[in-house]
Amino acid sequence: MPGVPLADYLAVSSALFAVGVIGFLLRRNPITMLMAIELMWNAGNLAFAAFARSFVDFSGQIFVFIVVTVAAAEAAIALAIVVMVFRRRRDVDVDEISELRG
Amino acid sequence: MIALFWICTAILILTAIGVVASRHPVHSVIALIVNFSALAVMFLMLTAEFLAMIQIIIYAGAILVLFLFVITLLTIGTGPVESGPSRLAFQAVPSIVTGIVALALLASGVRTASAAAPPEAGWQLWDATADDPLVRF
Repeated sequence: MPGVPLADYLAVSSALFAVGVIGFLLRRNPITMLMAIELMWNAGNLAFAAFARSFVDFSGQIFVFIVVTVAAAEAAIALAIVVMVFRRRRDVDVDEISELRG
Repeated sequence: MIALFWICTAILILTAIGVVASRHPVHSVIALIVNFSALAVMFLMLTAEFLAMIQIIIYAGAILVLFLFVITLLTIGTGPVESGPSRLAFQAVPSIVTGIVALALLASGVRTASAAAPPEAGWQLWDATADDPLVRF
C-alpha cells in the first residue's frame, strides 16, 4: 500500500510487543501469560512481514511461517504443562508454584 | 488505505490491552481472536496473503481453540454452571440476519473477483492432460 511508511509498521509492532511484555510481567494467570507471549510473537511477525515488503525480500515471510510453527508447538506444550501442574489446584496462580522437586 | 492502516492499529492496540487486562481468561481469548484478525488484515495490506490465511487458520483457528479447551479443562468443577433463562429466542433473528449478510458479502466478493479474473488456464490444462495416463496421477 503506498503511503504507509515502514516506520509506522515498526511502531505498531513495538507497541504490540510492549503490551505483551507488560502483560506477561503483570499477570499471574499462566494462560493469560501465554497469551501475552503470543502477542509478542505476533508483534515480531508484523515486523518481519513489514521488512519483507520493504526490502522486497521473501525471506521475511518465510520466517513468519517458521515463527507461527514454533509458536503453535510451544503453545501446545506450555498448555499441556499448565494442565498437568494445575490439575489438582483450586486457583491458577504461578506464584503458588514455588517448589521444584524431582 | 492509510485510514485502514490506522483503524487496524487502533483495533490491535485496544484488543491487546483487552487481552492483558481482562479478568476472565475467556474474554482474553476473544480479544486475542479479534487481535489476530486485525493482524491478518495488516498482512493483507503488506501483500502477504498466504501469511494472512495462515494467521487465521492456525492462530485463530487452532491455537486459540486449544487455549479455550485448556481453560475449560482448568475451570471444571470450581463453580456452579450458570443455567439462567434461555437467551436463544432473542439471539435467533440477529444471528440469521448476520448469516445472510455474511453470505451476501461473500457472494458479492466472489462475483467481483471472478469478473476480473484471467481465463482459467489451470482448468483447461487439466482437461488437456486428462487423457494421458502418464500425466494423470
